[in-house]
Amino acid sequence: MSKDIQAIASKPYEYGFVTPIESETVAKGLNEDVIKLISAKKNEPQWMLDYRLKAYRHWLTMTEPHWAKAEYPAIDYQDIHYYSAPKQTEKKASMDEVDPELKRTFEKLGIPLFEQKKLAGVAVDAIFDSVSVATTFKGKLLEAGVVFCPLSEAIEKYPDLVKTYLGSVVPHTDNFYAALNSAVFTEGSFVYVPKDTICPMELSTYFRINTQDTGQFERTLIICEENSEVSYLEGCTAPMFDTNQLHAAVVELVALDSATIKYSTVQNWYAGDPETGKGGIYNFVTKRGKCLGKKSKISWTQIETGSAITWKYPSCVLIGDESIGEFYSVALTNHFQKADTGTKMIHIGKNTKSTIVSKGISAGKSENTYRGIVQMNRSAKGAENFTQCDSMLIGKQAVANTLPYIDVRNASSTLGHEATTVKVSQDQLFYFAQRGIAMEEALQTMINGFCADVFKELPTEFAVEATQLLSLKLENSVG
Amino acid sequence: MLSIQNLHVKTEGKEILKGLYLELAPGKVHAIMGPNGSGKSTLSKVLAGHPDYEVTSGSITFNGQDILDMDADERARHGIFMAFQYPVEIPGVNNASFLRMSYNAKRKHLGLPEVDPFEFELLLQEKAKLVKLGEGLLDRSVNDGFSGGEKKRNEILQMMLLEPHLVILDETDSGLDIDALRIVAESVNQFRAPDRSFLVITHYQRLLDYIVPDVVHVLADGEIVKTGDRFLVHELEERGYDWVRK
Amino acid sequence: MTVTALTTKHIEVTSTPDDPIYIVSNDMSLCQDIVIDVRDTASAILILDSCQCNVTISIEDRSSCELIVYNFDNNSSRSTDMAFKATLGESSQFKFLQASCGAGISKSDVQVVFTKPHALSELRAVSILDGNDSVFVKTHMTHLVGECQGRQIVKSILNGNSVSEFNGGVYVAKGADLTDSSQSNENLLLSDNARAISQPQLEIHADDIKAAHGANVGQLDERHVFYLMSRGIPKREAELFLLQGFILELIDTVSNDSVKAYLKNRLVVSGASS
Repeated sequence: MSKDIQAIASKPYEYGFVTPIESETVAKGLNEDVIKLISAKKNEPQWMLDYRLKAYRHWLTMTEPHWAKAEYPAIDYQDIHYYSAPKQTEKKASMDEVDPELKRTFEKLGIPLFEQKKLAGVAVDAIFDSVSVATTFKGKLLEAGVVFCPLSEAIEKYPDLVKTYLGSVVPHTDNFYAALNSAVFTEGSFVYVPKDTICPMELSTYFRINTQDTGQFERTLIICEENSEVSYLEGCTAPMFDTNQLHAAVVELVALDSATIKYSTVQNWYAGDPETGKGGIYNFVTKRGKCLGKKSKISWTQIETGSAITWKYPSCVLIGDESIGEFYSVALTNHFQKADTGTKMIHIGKNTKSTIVSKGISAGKSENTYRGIVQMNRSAKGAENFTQCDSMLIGKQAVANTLPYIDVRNASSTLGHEATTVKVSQDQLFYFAQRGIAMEEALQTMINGFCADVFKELPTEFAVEATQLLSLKLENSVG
Repeated sequence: MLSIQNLHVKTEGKEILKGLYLELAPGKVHAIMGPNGSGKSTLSKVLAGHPDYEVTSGSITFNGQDILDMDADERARHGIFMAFQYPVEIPGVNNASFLRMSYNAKRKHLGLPEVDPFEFELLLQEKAKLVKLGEGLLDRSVNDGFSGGEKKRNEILQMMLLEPHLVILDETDSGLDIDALRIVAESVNQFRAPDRSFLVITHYQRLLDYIVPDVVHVLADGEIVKTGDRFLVHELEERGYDWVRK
Repeated sequence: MTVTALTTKHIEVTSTPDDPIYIVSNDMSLCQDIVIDVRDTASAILILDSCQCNVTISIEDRSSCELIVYNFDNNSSRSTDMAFKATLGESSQFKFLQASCGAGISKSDVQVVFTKPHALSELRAVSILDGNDSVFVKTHMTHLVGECQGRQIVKSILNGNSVSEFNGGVYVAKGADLTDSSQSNENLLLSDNARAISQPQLEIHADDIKAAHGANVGQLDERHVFYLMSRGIPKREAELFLLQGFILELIDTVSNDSVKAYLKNRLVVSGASS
């Protein structure tokens, strides 16, 4: 080892490939005709088109926001494809009929689409550009009363549920990107768990962007009725294009009395060229959960490692008395990445509780910001919050910001917030080395230790993947 | 075991070692004494492969191999162990897990199968008893909140687990009280073997009362200026270091 | 005791005075600009009593300044606006303490810039609020160089419809290694109509540093109250005693004994009436 730690061959982004498949892509540009076209392609009812148009018209009145600690050039919304689907437009009855190219893609990504190859029995909905190509275990889930299908299918088969809940947690007026998403969303997952039901298996959606200059606007809605439970995992990757691509998703979670929703994300979008910073995904996402019912619980766990810019605040609105909101996050930035992420916990009901554990790791020339709001309204008597935000800095050029906002409006709540900064030191790495442990393993161990409180919230299979993903991203970063 | 020829070492633009020669045979204990700033710590760090030190000329051969091209972790796996003067704290990393990781790194290098946490637990308890390191400290983060004595004993515990060929004790006695010193010395003495050598670096004579050296060197101004047997220690104690410097 | 009327705009301290320097205002409605220079290794204590001002402080190498600002007027119709900016030299010290009780609407903005290493600065603010009082404390420490120590501690007790807002920033520039910074904001809410807003902010561009912050909002620890009661102290008195302890802890850092005694006295008296 020399003073500036010599380059270990940096493992390139292994999901950067493009699948050669015939796609039907709508020409670039955004206007009411494009929206009508998208709606038509999806065979949507009139009320859905009306919702989209209302959102689009409202979006036109809004201004693109630039307040995050992540500069980005203004986006040309006319230079994006808003719809691209692989030509197997008919949903196939069985896995065997799925286009082999598509199957190969998902295999390469490690996503099991075949019923025989179960990943500890995880049901998967695979989304390729703007469409869902396969959803596994649907039948088995329906037997338990659980609906897990693409949102387009839910609009058709469960219109009442969609009408009631879509936009109830994130209204189209909420922010610029939510409005855009409400107008042009193409696909996403829909989950409905009826009363008194524990979803028998983990649900997972996998998003894959394939066509260049396509925006990804998925929309997910998860509804858990009284006493029900579900655990959902979202994963994503994208090819390496040298232009930036926009990912503006909206996720809405609704939990009724004593329901529990666990939503985990392992995000590995392409982050841009490590040398130049060119390209990479803009991950501008609005995720919010409403703890509507008493004793309901919504738990967000995120491992954010990719994207050129990550801008998201998975939040909980704690309306039901004794409801619980949790946010566990590891956000890693390296090279030229920027992350401005955190959470909002809004306490409205009595005796509500929230827990925030945020671990930011900044390396290279990146900038990593935690931004959070904990608000306890006057009505939120007896509310409690515990927040721990830690930043780990690797190298002399990285930046870490911690920007919490705390607002307490009653005399019976308690709140404790702590933030610390640590660095990975040469001395610590040398200690590992002198005990025979190579640098990658040393780094991996230290990061595990740093992120332990978050990793333990992830479903087991993904905890291992997350650890490996993080250390992969940090190769070559200590100097 | 170890052969150092004409070693010149620089750090932060300054030359610290100015032509050091040392021959260490297997099974022997050599002590290196010297005034502050003589280069004692530099020598141990260079042997371990610390990135802050640059070898400008000379050679270091360990068991017939030139180690200058080897990274620190490689040297460690080949059997070089250094007990740090100021062991660093690593919060968040469990001590027992860390010990198991380094134990397994050595096993892998030797082509042996790795041990699982349960097997290791038994081995660890056994060795920990010898250095009187309580179970509580095995459960904590590495050296986090450990007293000076506990940190040094954690170093010795690692030495016993890794069974190195060359043990470098870098001022292990600094900051230790008599009881801790005795524990450390006893463990080291019991660890002596015909295929194991020790390089004991110390400023004071005290430790050498317990770990009796075969050869004593005096390092001053970046070079070894005098070599003798263990009685040299008493002479230095009486006459100080100036006597030996040119 | 040296008293300086606020008509004096420039205060220079080149040798350590025996007594603290009091600065009083002739006209509270006027906002004065004050420039304070402390140099030649002098050490000064300056006290501002119920003033409106913009203070610029320059503390040169190895000099130190303790600035105490207080407002015990209990005049809730009052509105006070103060700004302080301190630039510190090598191995210098700047300690700031603001104590207020029933201060009406009060806003203070305290900025510290570390330009040379080994300097130390402590910013402390203590308020007891009631009625429609509103206190906004904004602090900011900029570490342009390393090896400096910064502490920010802001505590409030809020009753009635009062509001306390803390906005504390710490900026550590690239290369400012070995910076040691901590921020702490603690609020005790005694009324459901009171409100505490806390925004401690860290912007870190260097890696070899210590930076931590904490914020707590809550009530008196029931166990502490019970402990005192179990020793024969009536509940109301026990609560009062604990509230005082919460606040007075910050006053203990005042170096001049008579000033310390005065502050403790006023806070206890004013606080008890809340």
